Amino acid sequence: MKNYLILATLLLAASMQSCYPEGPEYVSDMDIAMTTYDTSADFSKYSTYSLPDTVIYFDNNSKAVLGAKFDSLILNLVEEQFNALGYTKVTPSDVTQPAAIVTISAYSQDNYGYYTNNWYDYWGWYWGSLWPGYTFSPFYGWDPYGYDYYVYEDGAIIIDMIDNTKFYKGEGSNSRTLNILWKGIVNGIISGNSNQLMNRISNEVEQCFNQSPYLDINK
Amino acid sequence: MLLCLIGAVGISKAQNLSMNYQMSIPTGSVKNFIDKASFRGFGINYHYFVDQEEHLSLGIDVSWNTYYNDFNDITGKFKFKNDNNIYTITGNQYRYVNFVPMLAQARYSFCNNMALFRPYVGMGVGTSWCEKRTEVGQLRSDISRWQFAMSPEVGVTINASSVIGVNVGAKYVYATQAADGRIPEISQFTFGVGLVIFGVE
Repeated sequence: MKNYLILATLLLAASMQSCYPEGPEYVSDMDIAMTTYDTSADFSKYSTYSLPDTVIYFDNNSKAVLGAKFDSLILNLVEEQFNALGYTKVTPSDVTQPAAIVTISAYSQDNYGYYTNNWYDYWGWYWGSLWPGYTFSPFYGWDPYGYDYYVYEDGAIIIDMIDNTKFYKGEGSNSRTLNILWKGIVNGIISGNSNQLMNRISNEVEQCFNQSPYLDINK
Repeated sequence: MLLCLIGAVGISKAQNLSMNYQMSIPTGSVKNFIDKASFRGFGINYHYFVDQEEHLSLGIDVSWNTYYNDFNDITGKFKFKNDNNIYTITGNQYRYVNFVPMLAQARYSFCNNMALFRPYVGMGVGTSWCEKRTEVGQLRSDISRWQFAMSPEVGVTINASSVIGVNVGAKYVYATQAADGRIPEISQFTFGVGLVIFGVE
């Protein structure tokens, strides 16, 4: 129920700006998988990779939902996907260095919004003076009704595949920038129980790999 | 002019104001973005008759339609400001186009002001404001521009009384592309029905 309320509030806030009844219906409708890559990279040169055993979390909320309990799910999934595409996971040591380093980080932050708490009156009043395409701020000149706050937690999981070849050859030791070969980003609104979240996360992580056919180095 | 049946009203109607509900069907390149008719539209126009028999009128016409279409789990390529990388993003896409032509119009009505049914043809030239928006996840891409627009029309005014009538009309609107094609060339067929209020000068 809480999920729907959050989404309903988001939608109402959005639809206030114009008279559009359509848009996302469920929180999961806002999930996205986003990827980008170095178009000059020859991925067959990066057949070995390393993967740390934890996900690094960045959040501004001590009660953040994303947390260590998702680590094994995310790490296993990413490992499976890279292995299926023809890459070999190695543990870095003095003798073996992977060609690529894969890191996984997760971000979450609370977002705050406002809405007037008297929607029906608001609509009733507004309807008559509606002018198409005119967007306005819900706070502008509307003091008679009170305001409430809503909070939603926005989360992202970022998978980076970083070029390690220059580093282990000692060429990159002075370099301040990392060459990111591939980046996969899963973004959505964090809501629902752990199982639902895990499902949504795995679908989107898989989608990141599915939409990146250039990663496949199986010959 | 068999159509020009003499109506019950024969009062001079030097000007009229017409308010119409309208639906529009997109054609041309805007269909690549949204290929779905819009049932959310409204138009208003004011006309002033030039001659005594009220054949020729000049006026202004402002109308609006919102197009909407959503796509589940669609993959697209996007660029962000200040970032040269191309991002492939998969998610539900919600697409909107707001299209607001504002036209100077000339109309010729085939029957004089004594007729019950007054078919007309007209031509409008002016500008249109177009807003194109794509939402995917929490990302949004929004662009709006003014375009050059023109619009031939046909319709009929039915004089119900000396003060009020009904308008049924169809027009084709063409608007040029803008922002190097990021605002597409828009063409649409619009069908409207509404009320006409007559006023004596």
